[in-house]
Amino acid sequence: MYKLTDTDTIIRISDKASIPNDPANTDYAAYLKWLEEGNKALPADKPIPPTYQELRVREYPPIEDYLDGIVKADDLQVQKYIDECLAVKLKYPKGK
Amino acid sequence: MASSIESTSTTTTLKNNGNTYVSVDTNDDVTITNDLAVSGTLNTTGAVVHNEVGAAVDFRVEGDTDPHLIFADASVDRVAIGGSDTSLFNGAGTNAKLAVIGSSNDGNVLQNGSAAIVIVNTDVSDENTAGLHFARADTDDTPNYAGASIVAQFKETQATGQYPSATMNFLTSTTQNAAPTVKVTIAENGNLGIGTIAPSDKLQVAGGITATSFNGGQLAGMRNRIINGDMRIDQRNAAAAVTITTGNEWSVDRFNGVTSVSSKYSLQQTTTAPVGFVNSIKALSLSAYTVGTSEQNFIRHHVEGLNMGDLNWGTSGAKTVTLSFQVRSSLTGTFGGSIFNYNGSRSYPFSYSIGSADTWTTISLTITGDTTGTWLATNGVGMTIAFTLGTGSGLSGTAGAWMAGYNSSASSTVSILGTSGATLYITGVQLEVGSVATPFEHRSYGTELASCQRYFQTWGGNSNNERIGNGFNYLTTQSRVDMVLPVTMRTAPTLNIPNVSHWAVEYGAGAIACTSIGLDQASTKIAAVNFNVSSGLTVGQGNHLNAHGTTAARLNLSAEL
Repeated sequence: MYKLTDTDTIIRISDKASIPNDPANTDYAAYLKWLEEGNKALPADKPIPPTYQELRVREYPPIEDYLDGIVKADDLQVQKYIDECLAVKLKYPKGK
Repeated sequence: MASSIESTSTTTTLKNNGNTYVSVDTNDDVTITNDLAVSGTLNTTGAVVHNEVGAAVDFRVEGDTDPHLIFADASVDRVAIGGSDTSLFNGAGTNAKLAVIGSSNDGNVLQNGSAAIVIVNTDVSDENTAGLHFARADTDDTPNYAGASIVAQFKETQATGQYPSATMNFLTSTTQNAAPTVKVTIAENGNLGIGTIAPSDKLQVAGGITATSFNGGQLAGMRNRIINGDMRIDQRNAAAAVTITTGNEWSVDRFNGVTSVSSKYSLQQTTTAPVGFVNSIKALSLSAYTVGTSEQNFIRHHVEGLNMGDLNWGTSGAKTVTLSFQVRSSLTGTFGGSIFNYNGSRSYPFSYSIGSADTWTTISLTITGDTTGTWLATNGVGMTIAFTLGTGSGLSGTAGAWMAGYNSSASSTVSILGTSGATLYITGVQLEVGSVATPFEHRSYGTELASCQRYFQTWGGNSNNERIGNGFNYLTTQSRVDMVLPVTMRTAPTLNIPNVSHWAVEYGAGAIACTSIGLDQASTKIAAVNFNVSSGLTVGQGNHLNAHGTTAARLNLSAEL
C-alpha cells in the first residue's frame, strides 16, 4: 500500500519509507508494478495551510529599510516601511 | 707346433700352433682372429668401421683413469661418455642416444665439474655464438631444419684468461617453414626478457601474462566483481542476526536473504572465518523444514550491470569467469547455487562439495560466459549469484551448464533448512575474469564501504546529538535539508527512518523532535529531506538536523538492486 505526497515522491505505508520517482529505484519499480496490478495509491495528505504568521513573514519588507530610515532620520522611509507592514497585516489578519 | 704361413688359391693364412690368427683373402682384406696390440701409432687412410656385421659388439676408448672415456653400447645402440651405463634415466631420456656421465660431489655451480658438456667456439670475435640446435630431417633428409635452439652470444672480443660476457637465447620456430627466432633472452646482467631481446628490468614481457598470483596475492586492483565479498561491511545490522521473513531482508551489505516461506532461517555477520578473513555471513536454519517443490531459499548477491558489461555476456565474445569462495557447514554433501540474469531467462546452476562438517573449504568454479540471452550493462541487475539454502526441484536445474529459464539452484543439493540448527558460512566470495581463481582481493575498508554506499547508506549512530545536515525552516512546522551524499548512489534513493522521534530540528532556542520525515526530492547525489515538527519553528531561520539525544537514531537511504 502506498500514499501519494504533494511532490512526486510516494510513501510506502508499511514502513513509511519515502520513495523517489525514479524507475531504476527498485522500490519505485515495485510501486509501478503494484499499480499495473490494478492497485491505487492513497491520495496525498491535504497540505497544511500556512499560518498567518508564516504568510506575513514571507511578505514583510526588509527590516533593514526601517533601520536605514531611522539612521537617516528619514521619516518618509520609516512611514513607508510601517505602511507596507500594515498592508501585509491587513492582507493576512490574525486567526486565519 | 711352430708358427707357419700357408697359402691357397684364395687365402693366405698366418698360423700359430695350428690356429689361424691372420688371414688375407682375394680382396686383400685382412682378418685378425685374436687380439691386436699396437704400441705405435695406428694410421689409416681408409674408413674405420667397427662392428660392421651389426653384432652386439661394444666399442670403448679408455682414458688415463676412466676405462669408459668413450663407450659405444652396441646392444642398445647408445653412446656414453664417461661411463658404461647408457640407461641412467628413468622415464624421459631413457632412449637418449648420448649420455654424458660424470660423478662428482662438487657443489660449485660455476665449476660444474664432471657431468657437463662444453660447447666451445674457438673464434674470438665479438657477437659470435655457441649453441645447441634441435632439428628434424625433412623428407629428403637434407638439409635438416632446426625448430628450436639454445644459443649463447658472446658480447665482446675474447680476451685471454677472461670469462666472456654472454647472453643466452632461446629460439623457437613460430610456424611451419619459419626460421627459429629468439623468444626468451637472459641478458648479460640477468634480466629476463620474454618477447624482447633487450630486457630493461629483471623481467620484461612483451605481451600478456597469465598467472595465478603475484607475491602470493592479487594480480591487480578491482579484479573482484563482488562487493563486500569478505562480509566486512554490515551497515544495517551491526552483526545482529536477521530473520528472513519477506525475502527482502538484508544481512551484511550487498547480501540479502530470499525465501518463499517466512522465518525459516536467519542471516548474520559473524567473526567465524577462515585464515585470512575476519568475517563471514552465517545462515542458520531455524527449524527442520522440508522445502516445497516450487520454493526457494538462498543468499543473494546482485552484480550491477555497469560492473560486468565488459564480460560481454550475451555475445559471442562472452568471457569466462571464475567464482571462488570459502564455505563451511555443519552438514556435508553436495551444495548448490546458481547464476542468473536480470529477468531469470538465463541461468547457470552450479554445485560444490563439502566433505567435512564444520571445516572451511575453498570452492572454485570456472564458468564459460553465456553467449546468449540478455545481460544488462546498465545500472540494473547485471547478474545474480545465489547460494542455496534449500530449493525445490521445480526451481533447480542441471549443474554446470547454461540453460534457458530460471533455476536458483542445482538439482539434488543439500537443504540447510531441512535440519534445525544447521549452518552455512560463506566468505571470500570472488568473481573474476579468467579460468583461474586467484587469491581473494582484499580492498581497503574505506574503499569497500564506499562501494557499499552506492547501494545503501545509513546516517546517525555515532553520537547522541550527531548532526547530519543544515537546513532552514520552510514552515513553522517544517525544516528542509539538502543532504549531500558522500557517494553517488545507483539511483535516487528510498528514504527510510526507523524512528522519526530520534531526530530533531535544532535552532537557537533549542531542539524540537520530528513527527515525520520524508523526501522532498532526491537524486543520486542529494537527498532533499523535509523534517516535520508539530510547531515552533520560525520561518526562514537556519538550523541543524540532529540526533535527538540517542545513538539509536538512523536515517537510511537505499538504492539497492
